[in-house]
Amino acid sequence: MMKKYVCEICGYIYDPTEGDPDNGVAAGTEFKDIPNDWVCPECGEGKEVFAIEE
Amino acid sequence: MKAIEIVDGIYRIGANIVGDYLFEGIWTIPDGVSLNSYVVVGEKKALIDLVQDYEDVPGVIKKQLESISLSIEDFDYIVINHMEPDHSGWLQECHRLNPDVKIIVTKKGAEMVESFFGITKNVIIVKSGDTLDLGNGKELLFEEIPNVHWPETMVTYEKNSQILFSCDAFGSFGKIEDEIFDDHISDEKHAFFEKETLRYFANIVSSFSKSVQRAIKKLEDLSIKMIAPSHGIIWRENPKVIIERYNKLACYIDGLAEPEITVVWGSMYGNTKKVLRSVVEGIRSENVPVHIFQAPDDDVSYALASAWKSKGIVFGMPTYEYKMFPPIAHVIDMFSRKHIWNRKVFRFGSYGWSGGAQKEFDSMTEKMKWDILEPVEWCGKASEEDHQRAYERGKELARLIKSEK
Repeated sequence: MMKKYVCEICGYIYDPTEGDPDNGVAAGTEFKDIPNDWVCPECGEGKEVFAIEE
Repeated sequence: MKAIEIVDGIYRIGANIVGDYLFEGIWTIPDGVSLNSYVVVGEKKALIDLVQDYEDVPGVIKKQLESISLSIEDFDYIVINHMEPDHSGWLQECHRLNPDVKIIVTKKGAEMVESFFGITKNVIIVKSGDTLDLGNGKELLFEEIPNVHWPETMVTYEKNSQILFSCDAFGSFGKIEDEIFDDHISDEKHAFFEKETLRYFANIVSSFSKSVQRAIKKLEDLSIKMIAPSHGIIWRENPKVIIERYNKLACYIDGLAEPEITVVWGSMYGNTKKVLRSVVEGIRSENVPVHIFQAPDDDVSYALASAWKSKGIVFGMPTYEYKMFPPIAHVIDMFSRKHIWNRKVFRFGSYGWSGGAQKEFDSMTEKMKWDILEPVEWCGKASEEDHQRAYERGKELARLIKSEK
């Protein structure tokens, strides 16, 4: 199963089954495959502040 | 306080909030807090960051504007780096007095200007790298620094004078008198602001430490001669001091804090309190500094500041109705919200019959990345042996902290 990632700043959860289509990330995109310039849609932080959701 | 020209055509105006007031409705500020606003006069005029609409704060600001022959109607632009009402509250009145003034904000800032004030006209959205030429050698550059402190936050940089108007970033609690520059205040005052910067950081900014690190990295490309925050003093002799201080404070989130221990304790009838001394003696036997706070008696704001700086934390609390002693539960909840992560920790405390505090403690702190040592618990009154265990655990924690690089 594809892993969910949580933003450690604001708590937004990236769910790969949903992706982030509003910001150009199609459903089914694994977190590692998201472009590096993508930012958290809630708080604007980058990928590096995300951790695997346990 | 009067308007002070910090360089040719740029002024600092400001007010203090003092007295019986809780900042953000939470944080005690016995020594006040300053709200700094900046006036940039080119051919066009801009006001960077406003103040809170609290008591006579706007009145104080208006008088200072008058002292440099300006009023709010004279401004072409209001730059809102950060929408928190301590910097934006006065916008409603400014907009009423001067409906033509253009409000400069980020995209998320514009949404907030609408939701907080119902203002949609004359709102100009900027993003990182955008500039605004005011004429007469005054040109503003905007850089987004999300989450320092809210998601809409940006900083403004004046290219010619190389002043960074950083709003909450590089800010501090503590009121400002007539001395507003780092090179004008005494060593004693510097020590005061260092303490109040730590407390401000731990209370307001700490959970956004990763964002602070990113912001500092982003700003590295700018040549900064002066840092003019919206709380606290202006750094012109050595702006590096406050940048490095913020960088160090932000690194504490990863546990890279000072080799010190903060003890927060609360006790119902004294059975836990009596063991506090043994824990502290154990810590001190290893020559590790220890800072002690009582809950609920001491304000959590100070415990937060101390814990943010310390690699080690100890909680002393009894079981209360099968769970944690509530005042300490509140402290831990606050530590969790403020991301006091990656610490070495243990708990000591009494119980009357079956216990339960430790179970709740373990589950409440599960996500805080704490390295938790075995607790010291006992039923009723602590025996000599319990005191000895508490002493040893204090010593063990102190040793662990010293050995960690």
